[in-house]
Amino acid sequence: MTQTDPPRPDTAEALDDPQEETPLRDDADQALIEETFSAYIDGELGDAERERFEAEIAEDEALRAEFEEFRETILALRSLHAVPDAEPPQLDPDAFTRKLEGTIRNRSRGRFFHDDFFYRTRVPYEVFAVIMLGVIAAMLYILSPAAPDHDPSKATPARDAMGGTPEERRGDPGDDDEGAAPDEANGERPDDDGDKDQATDDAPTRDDAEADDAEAEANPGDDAENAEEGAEDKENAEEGAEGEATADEGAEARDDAAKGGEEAGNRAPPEVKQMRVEMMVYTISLRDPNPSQRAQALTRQIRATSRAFQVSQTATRGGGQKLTVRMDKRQVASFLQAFGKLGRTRGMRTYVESADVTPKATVTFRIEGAKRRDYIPPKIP
Amino acid sequence: MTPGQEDKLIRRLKQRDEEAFRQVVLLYQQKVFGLVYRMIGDRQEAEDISQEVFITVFKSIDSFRGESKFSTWLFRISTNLCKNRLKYLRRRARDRTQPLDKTPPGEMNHTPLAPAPVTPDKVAQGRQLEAALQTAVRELDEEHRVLIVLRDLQGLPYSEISEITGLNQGTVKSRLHRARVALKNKVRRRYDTD
Repeated sequence: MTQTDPPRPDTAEALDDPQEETPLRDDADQALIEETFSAYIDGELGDAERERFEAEIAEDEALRAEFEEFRETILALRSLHAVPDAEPPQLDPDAFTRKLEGTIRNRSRGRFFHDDFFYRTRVPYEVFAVIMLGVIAAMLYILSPAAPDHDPSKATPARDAMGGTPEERRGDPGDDDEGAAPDEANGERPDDDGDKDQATDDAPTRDDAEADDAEAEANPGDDAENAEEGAEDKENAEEGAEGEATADEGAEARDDAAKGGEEAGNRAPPEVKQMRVEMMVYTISLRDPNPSQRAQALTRQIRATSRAFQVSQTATRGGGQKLTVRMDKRQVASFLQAFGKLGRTRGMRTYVESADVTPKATVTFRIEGAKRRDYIPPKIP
Repeated sequence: MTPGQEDKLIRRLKQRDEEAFRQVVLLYQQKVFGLVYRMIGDRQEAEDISQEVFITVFKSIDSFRGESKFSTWLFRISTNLCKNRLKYLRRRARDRTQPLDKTPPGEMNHTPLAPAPVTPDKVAQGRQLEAALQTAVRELDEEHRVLIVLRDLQGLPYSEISEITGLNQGTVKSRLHRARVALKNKVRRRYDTD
């Protein structure tokens, strides 16, 4: 009989054990004999051991009685399952399984044993968050006023950062080229532009001067501006008729000018639908010992670059010059590439109420005076 | 169930196949409940623990490496949960212990582990031995009780008992024998008092 853990009867058990009272056997013998009882009942004894044990209990009546009592107890224990009252109560398999599945369903929050497909197929929170971000980004893109004009092929980092659609400065709903037509026809913008710009400078301000200019310029509801524009168109039309413009264009311009003048005279509010549009405004600040001369030189350079740029020059109160260049939003990147290095450039995005969403942008040169000795001539492209 | 079928069932169970889990529950629920009931001695407690056994199986099936029989692993979970529950019940019973003179007679022996009274009806029906045995089994300490239940009531071989309890076979044999002796003595005492 294999024995790796010698029996050490518990004190209580040893006290209870009637064999403790038998003086003929010591504890070790008693334990060995009792283990032999168990091994015999379990069929764990080998043939030789079994025969020896059987011979021993046949000779020793007390030992036999003790073994019989032990065996009866064990056999009775093993037969408990055959006694109806001793049987453990039977489970109701269906009820047990239902309860079990319900518990697992609750603890897994419906992931298992749930009839509903959507409960069973749980999407990780990360995936759900990414999907929601995508939906929000798509909604923002669709609702953004810049969305229809967005051209990724012409995008620049600065432009992308600015985003949005510049507003049309004029009440004229024509496109950029049409808007630039009077200048092209005239070759040079009339001098009274400066007065107009000065007027816009005096308009109510928002956050800074650039935004004010943009908003005031973009607002076709301003009657004074409409009147000015009407007069300006009239002049342009007359000069255009003398220059490169065709007779038809001149006539059309005259009609527009007359209409503008008439509207200005009647001060009739324009029947246009105002909407909030995005305006790109850049400011290039530079210093020059002679701001006026520098502004004129810069004007020539800008016009030489493209006649589509609308340039206006005004004097500032501090003796400096302000050069306002209006352009199509798509021209901003190339313009800044050419002229942005002349000074400190900063850009901003603002919103104006306008009836026109034609992408327009404004780049304003602020040329302040500088002492001759501090002046370093810039590299003009 | 052949070993091949059992392996297939375990694989499906590891994939959280609900139908496979149902099969496992149907196959083993009575055995698990029987074992737990013998260990705990209270039907409701035994049913709750049996539920926990299968929940543990469902949660921890990935940790079953197939080094033993699935039933052995299942019984090991069952015995461990029973031991934990018994410890809890013992602690709770100790916390609620009242002086005997303050305990109403009707509330005596109502804890799940309390020995069931040997009624005169049973004595009259000649079932003294079975009743005494049931009571004696409940009175055994849990180390002895689990061996008695696994070996003499569930009929498991020593090798499987060894795997379930984590004891080597020699220890199982000697400890089982001590458990049997203790059981015999308890039954004899009960007979003597009756």
